Amino acid sequence: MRRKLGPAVLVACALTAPLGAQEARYYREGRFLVHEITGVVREPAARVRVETDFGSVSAVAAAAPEVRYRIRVRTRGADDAATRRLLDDMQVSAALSGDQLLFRGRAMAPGAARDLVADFAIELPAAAREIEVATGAGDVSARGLPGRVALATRGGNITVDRVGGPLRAETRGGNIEVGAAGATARLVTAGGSVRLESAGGDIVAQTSGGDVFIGSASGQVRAETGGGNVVVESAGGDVSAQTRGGSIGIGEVRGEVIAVTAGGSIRVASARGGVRCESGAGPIFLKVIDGPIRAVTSAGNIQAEILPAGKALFDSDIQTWHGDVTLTLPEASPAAIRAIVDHSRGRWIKSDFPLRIYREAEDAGRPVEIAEGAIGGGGALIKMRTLDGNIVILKAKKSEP
Amino acid sequence: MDCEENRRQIVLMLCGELEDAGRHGLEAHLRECAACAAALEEERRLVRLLEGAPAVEPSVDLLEGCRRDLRAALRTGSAGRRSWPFRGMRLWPAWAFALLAAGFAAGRLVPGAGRPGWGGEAAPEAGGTIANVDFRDSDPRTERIRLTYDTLKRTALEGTAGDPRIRQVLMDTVRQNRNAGLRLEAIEALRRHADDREVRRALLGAVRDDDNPGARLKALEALEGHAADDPEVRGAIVQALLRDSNPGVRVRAIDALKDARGPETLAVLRRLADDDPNDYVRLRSAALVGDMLPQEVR
Repeated sequence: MRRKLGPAVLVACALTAPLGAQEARYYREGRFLVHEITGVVREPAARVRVETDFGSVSAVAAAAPEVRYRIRVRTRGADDAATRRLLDDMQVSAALSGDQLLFRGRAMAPGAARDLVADFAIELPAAAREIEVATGAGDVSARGLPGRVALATRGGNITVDRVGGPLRAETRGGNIEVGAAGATARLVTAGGSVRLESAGGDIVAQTSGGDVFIGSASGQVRAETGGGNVVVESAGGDVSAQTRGGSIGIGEVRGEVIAVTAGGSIRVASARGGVRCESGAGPIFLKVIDGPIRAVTSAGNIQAEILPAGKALFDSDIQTWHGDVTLTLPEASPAAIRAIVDHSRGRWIKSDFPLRIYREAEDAGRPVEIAEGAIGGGGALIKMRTLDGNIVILKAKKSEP
Repeated sequence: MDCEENRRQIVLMLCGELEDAGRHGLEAHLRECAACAAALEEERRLVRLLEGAPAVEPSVDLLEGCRRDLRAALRTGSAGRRSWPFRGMRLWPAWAFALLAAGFAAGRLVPGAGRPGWGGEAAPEAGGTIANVDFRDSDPRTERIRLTYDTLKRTALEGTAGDPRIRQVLMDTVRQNRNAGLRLEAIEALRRHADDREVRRALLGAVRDDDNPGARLKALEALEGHAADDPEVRGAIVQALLRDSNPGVRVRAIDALKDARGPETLAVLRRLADDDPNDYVRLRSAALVGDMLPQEVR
């Protein structure tokens, strides 16, 4: 088989520069014919780039000091001649220019991407500072790379783990999964889920539709989806989470949390820089908030817990159009409270703190119940309002010694 | 078996998918439990409601949905996205047929990211199947799109979704492409052409079956202007309201019914007004029910 197909295919797949040892071979894999090129580049290549019209790409770190590669093109034709012609439709080249090693895969016929399956597997030494991958169609993966990583596919999933430098991953459609990223990460998909376990810097995660999950980030997080849930378990900086439809769950955040959903619940476990959150429809649960709170929902309960004690409070505003508001405050915190229940028909405000609770009628004649007063000598203004629901203001339980 | 489990079995019983032993047990329980008997009646009413909706031709959407599910299952090894109430049941004949058809279709489609059109849908080139659709450029302001695809040769098209050839590629993309990004882009391009019946059918399929919540949301938004005059659109919206796993989609669905409620939706809205876990959906449903009922009945 090799003798029969060799010349034509080798012309099609010629490597343009003599880059050390290289082998090409053909073999059958079931009903498929595979053309495989393997090689080693011993010259120093700090930057590696893969550009291909189609095909999957995987880049992994290896202990060896050289770059090793294996490129496979696979197809199935009606007979050997047809198969050979199909294989001719993919031209692969490699070239070293300065410190950049470039692998290029080109489709020589319009239907090549449909008829051929290609994959590039590249092993990089620790000295490689940068890898860039751009494929027209296919999955991309990168693992164990110490430097900067930029991965792009016009259609396919992206998988990354244990990368040390800044990471950029972009797909025009597919999921993005990242294990550990050592620095910043920018993850963008035109449709699909985004999942990142940990990053040592700021994170941007965007999808036009799909869930977003961020495990931990040492910096800021911006997570956006055109529809789907957003979860950020922990972040060292501010967190901004937005979805056009879905729930938002935020864990421990050292900065401010901004959370906006057109429909769904919002939960924040802890935020040291305060929260601003808005739900088109859904409850809001805020725990251990240090900083100003602005929470608005058109329908749903709001529970907010301001902690810790002994610190100054911040001006806050909590509103729901329909639902109950429950606010928990440290006992000795200085604050001014103003709580309003519109359309009140009974006793709707309850408070552990001594507040003045009274009623009056709006211009339209609807009853309004108001509670106001200063606690701990007065301080930041905390406003609460519901159009139809209860307001409960509680003293925080003293923590166990 | 507790009441909750029995109520799950009610759905299966109404579909004729409960084995004899289970059915006898359930019937015995229903004779004794008024609450579950009421739930059965409610479910029957819902079934009648859905059956009363205009008949939907099953072939294209069902087969496409099955095909997509099959592909998803092959890719992920899992059974699917939603917690479908019929999970674990016997394979019914319709599903057997659908899977057979899906298997046949899958045989035609591998390899390649794009997939060919299904019977009855004219491909852009007579006799050609399209693959590898790619949006090279799109301008939301002018609605102009430039896309490429493969048939026997690489083909490029440029224009708006008003062009039938472009529209066909876009609809095929919405229905069949496994790339969620491309589906979202195609839905966006089609949203102003939902008055076209075929476009509407493609969007309805996306609302019902697309596994991407962003795509379902976008398709719902594209269709909501037609809910008032198209019972099929209303039916899809009601289904989304009842079944969609994404709260945003459900919120959008209840908003879409604001100006488009039909008499057939009253029972569904009543049920949501009583039981829905989402405050907003419950409130809006109650308000819509109030609007629909004559003054004296409220």
